[in-house]
Amino acid sequence: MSAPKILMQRGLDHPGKSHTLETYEATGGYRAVRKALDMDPLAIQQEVKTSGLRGRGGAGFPAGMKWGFTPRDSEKPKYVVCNSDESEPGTFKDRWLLENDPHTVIEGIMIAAIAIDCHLAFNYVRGEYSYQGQCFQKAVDEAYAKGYLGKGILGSDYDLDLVVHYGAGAYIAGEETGLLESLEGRKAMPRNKPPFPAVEGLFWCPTVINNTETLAAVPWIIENGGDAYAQYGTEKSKGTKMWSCSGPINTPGVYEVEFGVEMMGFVEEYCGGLMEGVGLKGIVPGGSSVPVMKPEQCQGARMDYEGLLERGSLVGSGGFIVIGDNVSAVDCLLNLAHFYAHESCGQCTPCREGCGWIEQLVGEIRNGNGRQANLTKVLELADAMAGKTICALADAMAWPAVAFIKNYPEDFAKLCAGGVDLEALGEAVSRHDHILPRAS
Amino acid sequence: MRRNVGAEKNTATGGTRDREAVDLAVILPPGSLRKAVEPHPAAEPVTDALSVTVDGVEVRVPAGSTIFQAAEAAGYTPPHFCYHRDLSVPANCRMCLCEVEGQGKLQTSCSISVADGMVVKFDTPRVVEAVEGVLEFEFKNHPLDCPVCDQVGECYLQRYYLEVGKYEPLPMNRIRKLKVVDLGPITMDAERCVLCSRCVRFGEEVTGSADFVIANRSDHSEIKTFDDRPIETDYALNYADICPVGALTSNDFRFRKRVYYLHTVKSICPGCSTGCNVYAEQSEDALYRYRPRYNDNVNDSWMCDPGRTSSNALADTTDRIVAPMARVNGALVEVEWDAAIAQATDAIKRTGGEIAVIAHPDLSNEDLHQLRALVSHAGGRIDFRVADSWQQIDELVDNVLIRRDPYPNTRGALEVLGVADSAQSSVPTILADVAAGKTRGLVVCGWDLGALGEPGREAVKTADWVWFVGPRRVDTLDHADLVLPTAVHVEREGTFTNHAGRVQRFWQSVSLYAESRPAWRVFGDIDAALSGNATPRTALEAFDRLAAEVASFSGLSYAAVGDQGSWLRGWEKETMPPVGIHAMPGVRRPSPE
Ligand SMILES: Cc1cc2nc3c(=O)[nH]c(=O)nc-3n(C[C@H](O)[C@H](O)[C@H](O)COP(=O)(O)O)c2cc1C
Ligand code: SF4
Ligand code: SF4
Ligand code: SF4
Ligand code: FES
Repeated sequence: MSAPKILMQRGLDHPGKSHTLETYEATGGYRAVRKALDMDPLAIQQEVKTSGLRGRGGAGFPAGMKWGFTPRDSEKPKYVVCNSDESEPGTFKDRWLLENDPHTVIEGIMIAAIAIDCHLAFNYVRGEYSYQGQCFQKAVDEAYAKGYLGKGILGSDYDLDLVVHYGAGAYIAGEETGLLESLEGRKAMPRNKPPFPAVEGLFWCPTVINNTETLAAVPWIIENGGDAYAQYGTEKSKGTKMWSCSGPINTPGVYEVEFGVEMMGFVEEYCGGLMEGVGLKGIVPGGSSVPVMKPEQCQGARMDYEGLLERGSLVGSGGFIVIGDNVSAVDCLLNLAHFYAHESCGQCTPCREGCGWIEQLVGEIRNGNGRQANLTKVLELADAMAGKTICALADAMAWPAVAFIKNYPEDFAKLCAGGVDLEALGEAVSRHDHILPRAS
Repeated sequence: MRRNVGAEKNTATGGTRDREAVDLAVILPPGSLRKAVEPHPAAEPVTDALSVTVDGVEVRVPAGSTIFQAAEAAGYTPPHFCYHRDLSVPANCRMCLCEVEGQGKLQTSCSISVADGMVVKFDTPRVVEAVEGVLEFEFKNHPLDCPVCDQVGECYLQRYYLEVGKYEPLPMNRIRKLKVVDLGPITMDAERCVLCSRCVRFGEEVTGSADFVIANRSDHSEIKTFDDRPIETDYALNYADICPVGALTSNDFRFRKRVYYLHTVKSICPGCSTGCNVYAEQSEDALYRYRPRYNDNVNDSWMCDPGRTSSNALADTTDRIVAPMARVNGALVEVEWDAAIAQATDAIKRTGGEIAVIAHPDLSNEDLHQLRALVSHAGGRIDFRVADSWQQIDELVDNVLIRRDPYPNTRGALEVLGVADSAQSSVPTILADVAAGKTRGLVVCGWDLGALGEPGREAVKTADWVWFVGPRRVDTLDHADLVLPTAVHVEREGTFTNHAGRVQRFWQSVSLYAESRPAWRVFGDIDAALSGNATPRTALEAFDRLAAEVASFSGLSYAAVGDQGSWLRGWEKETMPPVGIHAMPGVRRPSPE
């Protein structure tokens, strides 16, 4: 497998120093933004469109297109917000960037700002990332000290301020409109869309909001051209992706690979294979919200947007969770349900009540008090939640719920009092698995 | 113009055809339905209308309308908790889901704007199943409280459950929250709350008092007041109205009557010159409560607490005058109406010359017109401006509804009595002339001596005769030779004109108290005896005479005024701003998209 390093090369080459402005500049840093200052904003957007860069925060929306949705002539100020709220279980790639290459993120934010004519940008950092936040803040301070940020950036007449803001500890503050509410000083309660943030975002002004990893790829694209970026990856999934790998593998960590690598090969080559004595039960490839894949689904799966969708899962945020055959699917689902039941913002009826209800029903099974009816109810509830709420958190609960029961019915059956009629359960699954993401 | 899509359909999707008045037909046996069920004011014909098809019914609605509004125009109100026509749209309850042709996901009808040619369906198995699902979630942590809940009969949860409930037992391990919390005007029960956030938005957008917040998140989300403070706004009881369930109930009304025993008529609050539109609700001839009634040009969906609880004072009959009375040997004794009218007519004829009349701004337009006719035939002067609040007729006390002028018909009195042009009240000179013996007969409507002041005290002593016309005993009676008891407004029909010149009808809710009569009839009878003009037989006829004789009322009729009112001639206005602080500049009100 070839290993282009667009996002992680500097960190790997200069361990312990890659986060400093000195290293950053010595390795070509802040060249792209200088170039961008001389470019027409529309040309910057076009370059990003050409690159095929898609959002790495979960939804995979084309970044250049998103920038293009901001109105050209706006009476109101425009904002760029970097989403470093990374709180999805299994996802820890933005953390790597904030620690090891914060200046790339800053430069990405600067270029995005220039591309939409924004003069005040924010990075919203997950509250628990206090160390990573400090790393980033230190980099911002360095940039300000050198005049790279503030009035007349890099000697130009373009003003740009960058504010680091910490979340107060809510997964839902990572959802883009929840984040905006939180940044405005309210509870992180996602907004109805439309209007989309590009039109009415922060303080109801046009706002580009992108994931940290998305923005970190931008300097490379501007420096080397969108076409160069598009050389990497597959036809529809361009470039590279950072996967944060966890589970019973020999070398857990963050790895950047081109889109399109084969999944089991990736596990062997990058994750160091499974720990001795542990067999593969399944893989959750894109963070806790995406459906779990069984070994036979993993075998030969291409790790890109289309490849994973074909196998019934998603790239999501790139949280690559390997599950060993020594854990029960019941525990996996209970753990997730506990998380979502705790993190639902509570606005939408189905999500507010559904997540807690699923946790309760699965908890009963785990404690040996559950019956087959618990499982059918979980499936029903998941169906009643998916696609009917303001944000995707309800789906993020519903998908794993259906996928775990669908893929590992025996695990659930083992713990259900009174046994389980697997055939009837299968029928129930087939009534409700239409909610799972599918290639259309 | 509203088309009825049909009862079967409504049952299928849990909707109701009426928005504010709860459709109790599903809860109660036929015949016990007593709530006012009325259509919304017909939308003005619009030029830039879009065509939308809702369950096969094509309607034209103005650009910017939501699917919800289009559905209402088509005769169907989608099930809903969070949507309220006078609040912002959070689309959080997820009850109003619909299918929009060409879109995969179900959409919340309250938050999506219509497009021309849009085809919308509520009446599909997919939508019905989704609404059932959402409703089931609402019940997961809801207590089994209906038997002891005051919301019964006007509870959205109850109604929707009866229509699209799953009727499957739910687990009993519910999340417990605070119950029976006394917040002053409101009792709060957090377990019954469906977290629709209507109350939160009302406090933020209408009163600005921001009383309620939703604390915590997920299924531990809980309604509470900020810092557990009691509610202090003058509009607190609106919380009980807008809360779709029994989480917020009115301490003034709760447990006094099951709502399905109430008989509802449309009325007007007599509490100030704003003239909020209300429903007056009675049972067994006793007035129990007012509820605000929507009027775009006046009060939107709101009313103030003092105005609302004024129904209690109206219902109180302890100081009401029972029958006409005449002074005989120094004491007031009850007489028949005929005798009282004859005595009044005689007195005017005997006195000759001018009489002095101090009218009252809580008399209706019809009353005042008959009184004016009487004065013009008897000869004399009339004014009503005893207090100077008429000068502050338009002034708001707060940013919401309450006005400084505490009378319901000051504008009407100014117009009908023809004193609108004079900048000064003539009451002091009228009373001084009586005190000086220049005018010999004095008619006092409703006022007590405290209000009339020193000139009044002098006048009642020197006048040849004093009549008191009004519903309640006040100290003026001590000096009256003749007492003519009149009805309060909920006991009869009539119109008031609010500060802005909106003529508004009220209907009879309870029976006339004892011998009291509508004032227009009392004045009409005396006038008839003097002038030979027959007394109007009905309030409607009295109003028609008014419309024929007073220029600013010309062209108006009860039919034209309807239940939403009409502007006085020369007082027409295009639109009125929404009520509440969200109408103030700089206050954000997210618009549906
Ligand atoms: C429940 C929920 C949580 C999310 N959390 C994050 C997050 O922590 N970080 C992030 O970048 N995006 C998160 N997202 C996705 C964002 O809503 C949004 O799509 C993303 O920030 C857009 O940036 P991108 O286009 O660069 O991916 C979350 C979405 C949902 C529904
Ligand atoms: S889906 Fe859940 S987390 Fe998202 S807005 Fe609704 S209640 Fe909040
Ligand atoms: S108390 Fe009533 S109005 Fe307020 S959120 Fe709860 S249900 Fe809605
Ligand atoms: S604002 Fe005036 S009219 Fe409205 S309810 Fe209060 S007292 Fe009555
Ligand atoms: S009424 Fe539309 S979501 Fe609540």
